[in-house]
Amino acid sequence: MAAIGSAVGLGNIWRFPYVAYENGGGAFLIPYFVAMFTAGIPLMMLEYGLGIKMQRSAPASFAKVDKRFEWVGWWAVIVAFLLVAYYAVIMAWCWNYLFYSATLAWGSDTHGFFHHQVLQLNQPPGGLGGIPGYILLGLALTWVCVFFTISRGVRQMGRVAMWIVPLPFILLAVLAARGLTLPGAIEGISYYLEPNFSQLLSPQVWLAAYGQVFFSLSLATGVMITYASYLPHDSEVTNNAFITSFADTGISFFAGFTIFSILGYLAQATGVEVAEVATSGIGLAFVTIPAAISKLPLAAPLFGMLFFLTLLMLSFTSAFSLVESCVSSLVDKWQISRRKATLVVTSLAFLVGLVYSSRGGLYWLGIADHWVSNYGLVAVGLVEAVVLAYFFGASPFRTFLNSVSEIRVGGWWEIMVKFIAPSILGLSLGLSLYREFQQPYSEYPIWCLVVGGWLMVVGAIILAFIFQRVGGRE
Amino acid sequence: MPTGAWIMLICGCLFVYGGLGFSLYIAMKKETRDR
Repeated sequence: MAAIGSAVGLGNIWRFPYVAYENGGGAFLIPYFVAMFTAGIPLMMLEYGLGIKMQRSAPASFAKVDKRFEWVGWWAVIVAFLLVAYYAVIMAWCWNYLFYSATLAWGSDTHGFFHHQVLQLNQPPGGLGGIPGYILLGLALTWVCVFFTISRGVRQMGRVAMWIVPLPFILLAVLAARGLTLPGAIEGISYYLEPNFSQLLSPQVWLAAYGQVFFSLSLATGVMITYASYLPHDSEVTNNAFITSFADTGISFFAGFTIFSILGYLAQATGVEVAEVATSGIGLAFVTIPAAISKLPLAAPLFGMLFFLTLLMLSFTSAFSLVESCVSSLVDKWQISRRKATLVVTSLAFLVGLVYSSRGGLYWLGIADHWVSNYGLVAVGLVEAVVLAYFFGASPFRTFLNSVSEIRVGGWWEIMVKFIAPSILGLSLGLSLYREFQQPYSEYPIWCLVVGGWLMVVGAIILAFIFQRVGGRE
Repeated sequence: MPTGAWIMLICGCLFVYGGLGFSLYIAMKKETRDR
């Protein structure tokens, strides 16, 4: 349950529907499933299997494979930390929007409201300029909730997960029921599902499918290794990987109906094409959806609150897992108390989050997200796959998986983890780097991209090596 | 809604929720047997 909660996050709501729509509509499901079976599920089995076999968090598990590779685990954990530091800021915005929904405070200019009143964006890229009070409050509230859940141990987290993992699914269903009964909803759904098979010939579409599967399943953050380490030594691996992947895809697919029915309604209400309102990410959640909510004929504030509550619940389960990955790594290495480790991680992440909460923070957040997603996660995934498939050995790993699992994996699994997954991840990384130098991320000052992007991902590797060198307690 | 969209809707649901249902069924079968 907790692993599903970790895999299902904001990306399922605000990324999948748009990526599907942009890359062939309904036809995108074909490359998506191919990507899921050739990279997503095999890599998830690799992470689950490692956690169950070694019974340790990511760095300690890699150290058990080979002492020289402990840094790979630390690298994944540091990337998880960087990710959750800005993820929490988005959650702080969600808290604010939960309250703004009650009065539909955003009015008719949702774009202006988000940028000028909520974020108070008045700095050029690279500036900071103080922190708006309500964002700071939202950020503090987020970290307090995370601290009290994680510091009390895995049992407490399991109890919280039992409640807050199913809740967003129910809320999403309620929102879908509302969305689908709105005029224009069917046009929206048609945009989402109508297949364009000719796009399947484009390599970009296939890379987008692999990228979406990889990000969506919370791979390369040490999360799945850590969660699996709490399971008994002979726990089922392969079927759990199937359940988590299918549940994650099920939510993504379902969220598409909610989002596109609402977009269809907005397009009809404003007299434009669905293509003009279709968007993803922060713009979708904090600009487009509020605009659609304002136009709802009945109980608009209630549906606004339900939407932001759904986002909050989904992001909490992902944030818990990312913080848990960091905390358990510190506990495993230095044998400090769980409470102390949680305090260190949450306080540091809160401090880093202050940069993203500032009046120029949106730019910093955009840079961090771009580098963490395109370089951090992909590079970690690539190295992880190579180390486990070649140094631990794909064949002994498969023997272990089959000894504990109900669904046995064949030779295909070895081919996937040895050749297919690393090739795709390598290709994706190379292509992102090529594009970066062809056309930089934005027209921000170059020092911003170096400090907020490159320095962060390169610094993560250096820090990972330092953590490996610093002696721990056995 | 165009026919293509209907087909993708049905195929998508069958595959995604069928896959989830099947893997949950296997998990439950194993749990019952272990007990």
